[in-house]
Amino acid sequence: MPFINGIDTTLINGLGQIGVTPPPTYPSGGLVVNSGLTRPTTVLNNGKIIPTGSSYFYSRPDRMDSASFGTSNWTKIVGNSLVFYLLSSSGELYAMGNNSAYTGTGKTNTLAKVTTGSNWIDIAVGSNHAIGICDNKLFACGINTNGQFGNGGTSANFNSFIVVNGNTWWTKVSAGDGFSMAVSGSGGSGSIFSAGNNTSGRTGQNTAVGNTLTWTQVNGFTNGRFTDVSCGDDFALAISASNIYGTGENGDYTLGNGTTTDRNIFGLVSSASTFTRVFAFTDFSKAIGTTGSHFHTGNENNTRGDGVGSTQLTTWTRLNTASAEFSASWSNFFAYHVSIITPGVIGINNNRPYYIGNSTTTADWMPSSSWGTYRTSTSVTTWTPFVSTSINVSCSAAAWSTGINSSINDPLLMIYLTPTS
Amino acid sequence: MIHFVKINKEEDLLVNWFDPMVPHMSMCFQQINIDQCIKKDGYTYASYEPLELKETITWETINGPVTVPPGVYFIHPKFEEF
Repeated sequence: MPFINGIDTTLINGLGQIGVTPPPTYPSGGLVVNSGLTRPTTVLNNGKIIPTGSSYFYSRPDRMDSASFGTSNWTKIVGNSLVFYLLSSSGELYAMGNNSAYTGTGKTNTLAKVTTGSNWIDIAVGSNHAIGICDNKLFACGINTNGQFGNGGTSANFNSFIVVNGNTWWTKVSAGDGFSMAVSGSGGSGSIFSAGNNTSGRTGQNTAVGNTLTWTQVNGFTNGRFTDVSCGDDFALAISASNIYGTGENGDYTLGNGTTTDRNIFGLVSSASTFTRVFAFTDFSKAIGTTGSHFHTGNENNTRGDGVGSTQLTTWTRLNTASAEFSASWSNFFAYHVSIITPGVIGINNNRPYYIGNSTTTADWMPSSSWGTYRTSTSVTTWTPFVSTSINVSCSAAAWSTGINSSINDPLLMIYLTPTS
Repeated sequence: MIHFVKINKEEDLLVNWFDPMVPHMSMCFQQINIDQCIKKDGYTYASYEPLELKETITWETINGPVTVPPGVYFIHPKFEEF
């Protein structure tokens, strides 16, 4: 009987199948993850992975060898509709997916280690490609139709990662729909380079036509330095000198500068000088202030979390009502589209039940008896507890979710739990 | 200005073409599938918008600067204007 951190994984799966309450003992610490695929979910427990979920896309525990990846501490999980990647604290990258071509391992039904390179420090996924940093070089896998690899070509690369830039100065990557951004320099103080689809000005290359095939530096910053960058579907945000800069599609106020005019080059969109991190999603954006406060612009299906379903915020606005911000100190809004994290707190900003793994729209973290059944999306308009009370106590963590988007056609999502103690 | 190019099949939409004056970029059609293309006089047309520079731009690529003077680039040899 397989045990991981004292938890009988067979029991966990069984509970999911018969739909009873979660086991009384939940491991302290760790991550709770939904891969971003359309059905499977994964529980990361103290850095160890406990896969659960449906038989779809090979996510069943009996198809995953937990022993083979039970010793790593996971530091980042990203996913899209094709694949998810897990980055370990020891620089290992693992992948699994519903299409072997995109995993970088050529496998789908096991969480397999990406053997390319030896020391991965970052990984990001766009709509159909992945880009990461290994041995301080840029690697990519997947579709390259728009030149989003930045390697000068448009040829796709499947089943393995390839070096797309051999310079050893890369520190951070982000990926969107057909484009990528990468940060150079040590200590997060270098420059941002972009490549890929220029449509709507998303690459910040002073044009909205064609593709940028070669990594090219973006301009528009006051001092040329950054502290964060994030690619959304068709726009990008970055932080320089604690201010937010944006480029690309802005029809839904995603840049937060009070207009719906697209930008072809990064420009200042908020000069509040209070921002530490920024997150570009689909038709909304979020940022974290220096005090951990929660800022939002645009909107998409209740993603504000304050009960406002679709009304857009036109500028960067702190959601400082109790319902929208809580008392939590936010540290991360995670995932390509929708998922929220705070220290010790899960936030899930896409509550398709089959993503979250709960059988209802309210709370719970275990897969239900009908886990594998496609369910109708239902809105949750305000932040809603996600982890049950008992789990919350044992984990010293809480989880919250809000929003729904039945129209998102690229279900990228993870659920992330980091304990506070 | 939008340019149109007559195509025969969906695979024709996958093509990228280049301009030696702007070596770090490529151009492609705006349509992803043939249903999105324009039908006119029994023909199917895909569209693209050429790169039009009103002033000189220098891009700092990872391989060095690329400076391009004002002009229109990436013009497809078979383009038409409606």
